[in-house]
Amino acid sequence: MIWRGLLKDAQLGARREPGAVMAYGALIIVFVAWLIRTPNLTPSLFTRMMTGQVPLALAAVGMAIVLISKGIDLSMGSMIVLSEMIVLVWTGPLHSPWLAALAAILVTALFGLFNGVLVSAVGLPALVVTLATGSIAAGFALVVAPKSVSGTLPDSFRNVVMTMIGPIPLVLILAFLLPLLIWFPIRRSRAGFALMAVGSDDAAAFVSGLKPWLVRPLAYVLSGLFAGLAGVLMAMSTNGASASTTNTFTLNSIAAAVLGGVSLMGGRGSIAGAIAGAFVLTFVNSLLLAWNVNGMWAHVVTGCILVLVVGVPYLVNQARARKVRS
Amino acid sequence: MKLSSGRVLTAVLPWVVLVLLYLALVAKAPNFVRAGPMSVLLYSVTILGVVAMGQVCVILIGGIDLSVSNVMTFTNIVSASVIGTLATKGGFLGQHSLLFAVLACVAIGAVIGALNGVIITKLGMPDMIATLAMWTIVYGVMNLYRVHIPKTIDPSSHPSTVLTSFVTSRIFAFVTPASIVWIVVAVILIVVLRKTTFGRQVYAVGLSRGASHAAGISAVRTTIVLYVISGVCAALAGVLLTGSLSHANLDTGNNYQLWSIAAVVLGGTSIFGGRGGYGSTIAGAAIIVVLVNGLLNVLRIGTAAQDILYGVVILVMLLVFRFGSRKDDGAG
Repeated sequence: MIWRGLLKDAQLGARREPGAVMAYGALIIVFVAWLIRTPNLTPSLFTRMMTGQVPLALAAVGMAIVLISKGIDLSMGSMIVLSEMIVLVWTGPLHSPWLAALAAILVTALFGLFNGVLVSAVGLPALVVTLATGSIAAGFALVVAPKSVSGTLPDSFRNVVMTMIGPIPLVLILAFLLPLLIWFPIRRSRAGFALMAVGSDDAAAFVSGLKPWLVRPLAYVLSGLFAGLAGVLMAMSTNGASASTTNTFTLNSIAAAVLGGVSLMGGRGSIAGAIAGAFVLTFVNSLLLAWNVNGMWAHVVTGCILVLVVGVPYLVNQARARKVRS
Repeated sequence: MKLSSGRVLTAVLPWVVLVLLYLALVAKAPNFVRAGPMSVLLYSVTILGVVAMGQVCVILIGGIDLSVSNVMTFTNIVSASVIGTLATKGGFLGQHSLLFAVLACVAIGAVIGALNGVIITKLGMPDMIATLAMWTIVYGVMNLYRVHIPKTIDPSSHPSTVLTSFVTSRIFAFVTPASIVWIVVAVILIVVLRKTTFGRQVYAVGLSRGASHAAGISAVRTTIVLYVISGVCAALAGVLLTGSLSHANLDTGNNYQLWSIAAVVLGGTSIFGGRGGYGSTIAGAAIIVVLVNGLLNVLRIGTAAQDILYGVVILVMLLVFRFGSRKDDGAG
């Protein structure tokens, strides 16, 4: 029964979110091109690659939820680093990587709650608040790990990400399953419905009896939660990091969400699209590497893709509107 | 015009905080009243003040420029490498290496700013996302550029003595040449924003893009012009950075993204546009410099606590202004 419900949702969703469908189309093209360029691909190589890519997919889901609620979370990148460092450093004192992972996710979710309260209950601008809390999170990451750490995680914990279920790597399943398990029940509840309503029109939602300032923090908490999960996976795949490295998760998660059809004006978008957007970006990067292009081109390409994905539909709409007028 | 309590608070508070912080700094480290340490603070304020000049312009129209940090780093590298490359050559090019470096950087800043403005106005992209996209593009480009600098030229060790002394030398007491130029330009900017038609247009666009369009103001032109100004300001700040550091790295501009926005916000300018100005932004920039280069250094506070403190300071000021302006609404 639940599968039929899901299928129906997917059909409805595909009709409502053409952007997400296009993102999956783009993903197939990029993936096939990458497969052709990578002839000697082994399952373990593919799995290792996936563990590197899935954190962005999770970050993109968190960012998508915040964008849908008409917000922005510029602390995403720092929260991921904070979570990663907590897992790497606290595994020792807590005697369990799983407890450390739980602690990491709790801390980033609390950070998200802090963001949410400041943005919606106090009414401060999301952009500056999350920029400031991003700085705070980066500071905490340095407090947790003043120096770069490596090799603190036991192999049993690390190997979890290398597990295969049949021919499919476990991480790849997690990339879809975790967001589905967390977001789907919320999306179908009153709170999730209210979140979409608040994102599409704050005033209308308020007039309809919803309380935007109570609903919106939920989006930031989820953003923190997914940042935490992404950080845990990062820790698993790298088993070592430095808190002071520049990271591009914030921009890339926004780009991924937008690529997946999430509107920057709020109210529209799907997490399934955001996941596809993330994989398009990471496979474009892998493709560039396979072509032996300098890795720095990836940044230029990501930026240009983002501009094109937002700009071209806008131009098309403008042209159509002009035609209607004349 | 009668000033409401909220307006007074917004105008006075940044300067009061600055004076208190400076007094705290002097109490902790008395030698900060002497000309030497003061001039270090002053040239740091100059660099931040120049970036914040562009930042405040775009924030006044309700925009934001997140690309400034990488524009600064990029122009830092370009100016250092152009000076380095040309200085080894004789003749006209060698004698005017600084001029060419500045011209190249201004051109880079203007092109990046114009691209920002065009993407925002012509492609309907939110300011924050457009400039964030530009941030990555510039990041990639500057890394590619860094790789292509000939190995024989070390961009990290060719400061122009003229540039260094322009930024750091003292002409009297603690005043540096760059700071005088900056203050003159700052006064011009403040007058332009307050007294000219263009300035009124900036505030009009900031308050409402729709209403200003109805009033016959070209929001598109205003927006593009202001982003070009922001790009050029960031580029010039990058050149000043070369003068103060006398070296270039791939992360020298990083902090200026948050700092320039913080300077504007600490100065009480509304992040939603239409309210505020450059005058109190100067106080905001000075607050950050006194805090970062002064207090945190003197107290030997590490990077971790610094990051946390910037964030907390910005949040606290936001809260103060938030409740200050609420009072303003009530007095209405």
